[in-house]
Amino acid sequence: MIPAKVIRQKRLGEEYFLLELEAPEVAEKALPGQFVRLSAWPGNDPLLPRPFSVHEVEGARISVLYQVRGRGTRILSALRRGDEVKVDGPLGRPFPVPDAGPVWVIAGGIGVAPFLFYLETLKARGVPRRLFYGARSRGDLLRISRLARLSPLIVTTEDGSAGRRGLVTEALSEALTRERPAMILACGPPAMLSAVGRIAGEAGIPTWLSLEAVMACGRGLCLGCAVPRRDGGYLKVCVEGPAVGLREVDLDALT
Amino acid sequence: MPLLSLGSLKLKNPLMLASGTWGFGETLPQEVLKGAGALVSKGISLFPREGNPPPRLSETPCGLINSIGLENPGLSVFRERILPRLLSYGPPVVVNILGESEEEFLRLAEGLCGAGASGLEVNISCPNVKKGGIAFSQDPEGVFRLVKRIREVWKGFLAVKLSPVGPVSEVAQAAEEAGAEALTCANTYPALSVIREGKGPRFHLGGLSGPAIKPLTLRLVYELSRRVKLPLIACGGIVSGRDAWEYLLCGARAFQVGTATLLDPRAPLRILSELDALAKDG
Ligand SMILES: Cc1cc2nc3c(=O)[nH]c(=O)nc-3n(C[C@H](O)[C@H](O)[C@H](O)COP(=O)(O)OP(=O)(O)OC[C@H]3O[C@@H](n4cnc5c(N)ncnc54)[C@H](O)[C@@H]3O)c2cc1C
Ligand SMILES: Cc1cc2nc3c(=O)[nH]c(=O)nc-3n(C[C@H](O)[C@H](O)[C@H](O)COP(=O)(O)O)c2cc1C
Ligand code: FES
Repeated sequence: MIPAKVIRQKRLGEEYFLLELEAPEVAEKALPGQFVRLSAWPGNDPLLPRPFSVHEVEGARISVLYQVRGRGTRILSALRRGDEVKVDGPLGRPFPVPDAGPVWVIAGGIGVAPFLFYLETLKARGVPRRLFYGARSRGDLLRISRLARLSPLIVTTEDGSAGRRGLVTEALSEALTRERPAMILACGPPAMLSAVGRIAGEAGIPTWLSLEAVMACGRGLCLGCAVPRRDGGYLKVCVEGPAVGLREVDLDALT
Repeated sequence: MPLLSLGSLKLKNPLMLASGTWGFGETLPQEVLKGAGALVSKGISLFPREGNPPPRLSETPCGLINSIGLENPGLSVFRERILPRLLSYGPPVVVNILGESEEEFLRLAEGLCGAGASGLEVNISCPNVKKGGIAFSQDPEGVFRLVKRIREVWKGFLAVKLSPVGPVSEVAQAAEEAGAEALTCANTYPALSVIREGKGPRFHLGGLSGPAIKPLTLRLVYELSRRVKLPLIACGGIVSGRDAWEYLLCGARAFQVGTATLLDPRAPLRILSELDALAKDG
């Protein structure tokens, strides 16, 4: 864990925040799909640093995009410019970047967090891409204009307040009746991941699912972030993921 | 630096990396591995074990509950493919062994003879397996028999890792009489947290570690140091030099760091230097 200064924190809605940190060591090494662990409280309560995807890297700065869920993220949300946090990383395996696309990126809710950095990288390499981004409602769509500059975008909301009404997986199914991407990469709630897994599996498209698990170490020390493997045993999300090949994952065990 | 003796084990400093909290060293900074007084391996069983289904972790105030369930590659893979690498880090390696029966413990001890490890830490205190583990800790006579038989086949350093619950002093005395050279005090506390999930509440049973348990294990070390002569290796919630120093003050000869390494892989080195500074200040 190394100290990092808060450059700024921006509230992006009721429960969403964008936290920008001065962390040159992390910024220099981070690749899309990797995560950092943050702790922003003195003492041992909460005990565990919280994992967050690297949302964006600019020079010596990294940012994370997060949703307030419990105590840790609530404490984070009170950070102001100049405050100090401890950061650990980058950790985990980067997302695969194929030479040829198109890559379809499927985001559910806050699962969009790692994709800005990823789409930027795909764009820089000239890999054709498309983002399917689903959220509950208009207010839950984050960084839309920035994302729209990086990639063609299909938005869905459950209440129809923006984009198409419905689930992002419905938009994916429909698009698959007309086109075939070279690869699918999804991040979002477990039910969405397992639906994407089934749809993409049936279509026979190489697919990666970015998983979540409670983590104590973020680097393979504790074996705590176990998720059942399809052919038995457990994979460790922090070192084998966060993005894991569809064939590795037991979809029934995700939800 | 003068060497510290725990029975036949010689350490360059009193800090050991606790079992199950540093992987097999793959992702820990080299300085941490090289800088430790000794390395205590993940619990090794006779055959590979898959471990428990998730959830395996939950957080409590100042504490961590784990139910890993002793996921490990088993004796032969450990001995052939992992132990040689652990030995290459430098500090003496102590292998934490867990059998489901006395016979399994013996086969583990025999299987590790001549493989290069300096010692064994007999795990009679894992709260996360159905057979073996903590069940032994309820039975001082069983522990006496177990340790005596292991002592007959294993000539190197021999420690017993106690459970903090059950007849702890009787078990400690039994291990002492049976020929153990040190006692690790202690493993995690059987604990439970209620996890709220989409589907509703769920019970997570496991072993509690971290700062939450320090005052409890500190008391245990204090009591045991008055009841047994064996050197005690303190283990429970050490996250600072001050914590380690308190354990030494209460009668421990050495200490292990577990959860702190999960929080920050460099914590062991920080703890050592904080302890050094405290020692210099008297
Ligand atoms: C690799 C990775 C990347 C991530 N990236 C992001 C990101 O970019 N943005 C973002 O907002 N979030 C991200 N997360 C999720 C984020 O880490 C959590 O939201 C955060 O840790 C919550 O901390 P908290 O203290 O606020 O909530 P907590 O109080 O810790 O709990 C939050 C929720 O998790 C549940 N929970 C707690 N413990 C368990 C358990 N043992 N089993 C099951 N459920 C449990 C609780 O019931 C609660 O609903 C990521 C997680 C991982 C693993
Ligand atoms: C994730 C995890 C895995 C553990 N695995 C083992 C193990 O395999 N064998 C063992 O004897 N103790 C195991 N322990 C217990 C620790 O070695 C240590 O006794 C306990 O965590 C208390 O110390 P701490 O508070 O410093 O962590 C494990 C603890 C944790 C948190
Ligand atoms: S979080 Fe410890 S092994 Fe993944």
